[in-house]
Order: sequence, then structure tokens, then C-alpha cells
Amino acid sequence: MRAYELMIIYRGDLAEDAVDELLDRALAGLAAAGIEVDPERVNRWPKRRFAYEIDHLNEGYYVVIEFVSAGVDLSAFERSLRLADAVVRHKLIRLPDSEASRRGLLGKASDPVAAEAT
Amino acid sequence: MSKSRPRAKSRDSVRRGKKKVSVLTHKRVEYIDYKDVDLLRRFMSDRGKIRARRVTGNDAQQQRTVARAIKNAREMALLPYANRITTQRGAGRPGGPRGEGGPGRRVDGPPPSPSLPPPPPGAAADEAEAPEAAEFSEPAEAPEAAELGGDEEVES
Repeated sequence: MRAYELMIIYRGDLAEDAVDELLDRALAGLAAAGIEVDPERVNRWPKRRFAYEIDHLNEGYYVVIEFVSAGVDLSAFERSLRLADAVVRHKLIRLPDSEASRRGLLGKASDPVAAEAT
Repeated sequence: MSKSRPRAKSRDSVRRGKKKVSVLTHKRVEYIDYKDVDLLRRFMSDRGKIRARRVTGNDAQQQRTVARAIKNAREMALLPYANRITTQRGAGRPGGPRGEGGPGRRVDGPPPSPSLPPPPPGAAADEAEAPEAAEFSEPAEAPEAAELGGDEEVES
């Protein structure tokens, strides 16, 4: 199993509940790809100022989602993010196993490193 | 002095002066997260450039991971690509209208008119101050150019 971290930035001029809805849709997209996301691993940041202007916007809603997957194809899901108008940027990063087990993401049986540590 | 200190290390420090230890080593940071903006800012200059290894004391691996984290953070607008230092004047914007050099370029200076009589000695003294002021603005950029050379080593 591999641990991933996905960050999505939604436009800052949206309403809060609009972001909730969009986020639900994104999570549904992940579910469609065969990935279950623990709701506690979905981390919404408060509205944050950009370090520089993007598309004439100066702030955005940041969401960080951590999940574990067995290497399923996420290219369709990523394309949906890229095409979505409300998404300013997104970034999907594979977490190193050591960091993932430190965060308690990787389970016991599937990961030998985590099994040794516990 | 600690008991078990390798001799080679102390000799080394005599030769090169104080060896800087990175905060990463000191605080035992295991994973450099691109979201940890406060940590990453320590490895950047005020202008937003990535600091060189010799400044931060990072080892090669640390420098690589720090650079990658900073670049990821920049993509997500958590860190700036460049910070403009606004205190500079005049020479602060190279490549702007300065390079165009059309006839309407000299807005501040008097238009060259051949019919004008040579200025009296008093006015000449006033004008002598102007180039001096221009020289003052230049040293402000000089240290930056030096820094640029150092940073480019890191990025490549």
C-alpha cells in the first residue's frame, strides 16, 4: 500500500458551503477510483492568502487529503481536478513510507516497516 | 571538550573555521514537508531565493529535499517565487522602459536645445550633484548580484 497526500486549492471567491460541496464531489471522484478516504484525514485550512497572484486571485481555500491506496490509476481523477474551474491548483504527492507510518497512515500488516516499529 | 571526539574532525575545523550545522540536523527533522512554510523560509533569502548550502549548513541530501520542498510550496503559492524589495529606486527595474531608449526617454532631464546659452557656473554646480545621486543608488544592487551568483549554483 502506498500513502499519498493530495492538496487542492479552491478559488477564494467561492462561498464556504460551495467549497464543501466541491470537496464532496472530489472525494466522490476518489471513491469512484476505488479509494476510501477517512473523513478525519481531510484537512481544511482556513482561507489563505497566496504568496503571489494566481489568475487575478489573491486567496484560496486549501484542502489537504491524506489517503492510502494500492496503486490505482488516478489520472482520470487528476484530469477532473485540472479541468474544474473552481480548482486553482492541486498537487498529489506520494508520501515516503517512513513518514506515512509516522502519521499513522499505513496499516500494520501490509507494511513491514510499520510492523517493525510497532 | 567531549571525550570521544575524532581527531580528524577537530583538525578540519581548524582549517576551515567553524562548521555550520543545519537546523535540520539540529532539530532532527526527518521529513521536510512542503507545507511547513516557517521551516522552509529559513532556507530562503528575503528575496525568496533558495539559500546556498554553504550558508545553511545543509548536507547534499538535505539541500536537495529542501529545494524540492520549496519548489513544491512555490507551486502551491505557499511561498513566493520572488520577493521584490521595494526600498530600491530607479535602478530597481531593469528591463523595463529603460531599455527602450526612444526619443521620449529623457523625461526628467532638460530637452537638448542648441539655442540655449551655456549655463552659468552656479547652475553647473547644481548639475554636478545629479550624477552623484545616481551613483548612490548603484551600490544597493551590488551585493545582490553577488548573491545571485551563489544561488545559481544551488539551482542548477
